[in-house]
Amino acid sequence: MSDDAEKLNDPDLQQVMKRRSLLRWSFSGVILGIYLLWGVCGVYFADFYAAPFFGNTLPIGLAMGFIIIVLAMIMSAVYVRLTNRLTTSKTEQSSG
Amino acid sequence: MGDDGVNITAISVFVAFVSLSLIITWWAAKRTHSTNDFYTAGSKITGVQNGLALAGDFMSAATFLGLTGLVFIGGSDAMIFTLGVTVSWAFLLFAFADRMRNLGRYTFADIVAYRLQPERMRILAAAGTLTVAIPYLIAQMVGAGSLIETLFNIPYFGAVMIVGTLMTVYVAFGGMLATTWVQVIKAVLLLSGGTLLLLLALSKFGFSIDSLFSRAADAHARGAGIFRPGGLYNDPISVISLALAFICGTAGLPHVLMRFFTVPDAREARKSIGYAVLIIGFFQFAIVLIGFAAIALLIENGEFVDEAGRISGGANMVSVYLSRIVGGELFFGLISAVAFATILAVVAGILLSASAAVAHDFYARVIRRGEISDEDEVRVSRWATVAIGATAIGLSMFFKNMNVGILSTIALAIAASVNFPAIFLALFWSGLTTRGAVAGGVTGLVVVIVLTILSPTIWVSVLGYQTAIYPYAYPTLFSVGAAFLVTIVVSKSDNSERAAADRAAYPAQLVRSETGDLL
Repeated sequence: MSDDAEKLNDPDLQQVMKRRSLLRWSFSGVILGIYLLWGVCGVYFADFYAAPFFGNTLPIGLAMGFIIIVLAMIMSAVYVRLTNRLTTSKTEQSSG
Repeated sequence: MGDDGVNITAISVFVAFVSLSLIITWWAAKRTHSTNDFYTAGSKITGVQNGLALAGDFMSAATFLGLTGLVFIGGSDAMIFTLGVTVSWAFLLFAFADRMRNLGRYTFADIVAYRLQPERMRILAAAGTLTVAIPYLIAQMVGAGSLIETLFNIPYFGAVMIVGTLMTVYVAFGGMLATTWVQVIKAVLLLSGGTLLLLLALSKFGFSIDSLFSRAADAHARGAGIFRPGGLYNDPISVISLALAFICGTAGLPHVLMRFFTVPDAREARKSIGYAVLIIGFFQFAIVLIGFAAIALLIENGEFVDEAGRISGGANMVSVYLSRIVGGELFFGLISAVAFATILAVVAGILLSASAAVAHDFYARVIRRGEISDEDEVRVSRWATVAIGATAIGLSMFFKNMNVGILSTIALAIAASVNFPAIFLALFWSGLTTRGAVAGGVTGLVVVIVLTILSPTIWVSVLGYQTAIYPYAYPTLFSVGAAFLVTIVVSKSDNSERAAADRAAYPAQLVRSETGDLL
């Protein structure tokens, strides 16, 4: 166990951990922040949310919801690519 | 409901699904020997398979039938649920996937027990698993019983027996391998069925989203009011509480967390949840559109709606009725069978997580202190599966008239308030101690149960009082907050020897959580 702890001094590992942590919290913060903001704003700007989106009957609130779903999907795909590329032979077992 | 023709399609699709799933169980049983096989399918599931299985775990009857019903009732308000589902899975990927995979073997108890006092943490985790799994299991089975009663004209008792027996057979004989494949097949069935339902529904509007929404507004009694948020919730605390139930609850569901360990490593874990987000996101997109199409077509059609605009058989039946309007009897039978298969696959996953908590975390690790042969542990797991399956069948008979929505909300809220704070702080906060985690878990459980009883869902709807003492529908903002607060305060003031050991072991855990088994 203490052997494991000593590996924290490894500069390679430190760098990967730093990048991973940056990705982890920025991605989490962005998607959760947008979701909560969208939800709470719906309480105060209900009429705006109900207004038509670009002249269609699709309301703005729902259109924003659809956009956030697509955003979450895109962010997930990007996150998997970025973090799985960060992996080095030294810091994480490769698959297969 | 329906003539014999309906039943024949539904029953043949369903019998085909059950036969296939039993063949898979037989095939999986021959490959399930060790505890590793039983709980995690030998960690040999690929990212794509696991992504489908994860998505399948979440696309339960509650999401497919319940959320379309919620759109039907609440219009735009339902979007906070569908969006919550998608966002919470993305969060699970960003924050937890790799560290969870690297630290755990069989259950999420492995993570909270990694550096803390193992016996106490496993008891807490097993309790956290059962208090989530049992209500969730009962909610799904009660829902299944009523659904099958309506669709197939099988009495409730028989329906619950069929679902309960099949899930027990899958898990007891086929373990995680059978459970995963049943879930994968069901996910594919549900995705294709759902997509087909969406396309058929859209064809009734000439594939014009504009016409879909304008006809929905014309048909509904509230008119364009269904686009205005605030019908189901109208204060920021309820919105945040609801959002937290999804965000923290999903990351605290034991049967979901258990799937992290069925893939070989952290890379595959990320990939599998990435696929799950794509599948779930697409499905949530479809659900909102299907819900609004149902508003337009079901009300215009009038056959399934009474004068007050209520759906016969409850709002959960919306997507099933819609399938009949847009696709005729054959498609109606198909969707009914898919809905049944969905429930069956989901309850199997929950049952497996409950039996792992009892047999592995509680019996093998706490009572036997790990002094148990692999063979014995698998045998105990199988018997635990049978015992929990039988208990769930019995309780489902008893809770026949319980509101399914309340039960599954309570389960999600408990997952958020008991399991999530312990997992989150164990992974990311070096200061967490055993005493703090236990105190926080107990606090979360007590607060969530007390607030749920005092909230409008039980105090007013079930107990019949005039006004609720706790005015918000969801307890999570306060219960999760209290659990975090108590965990942190108790951990900080903990000067025991154990606490010092808990803190000192964090660096080693950190390295393992970031690197996996290789170093």
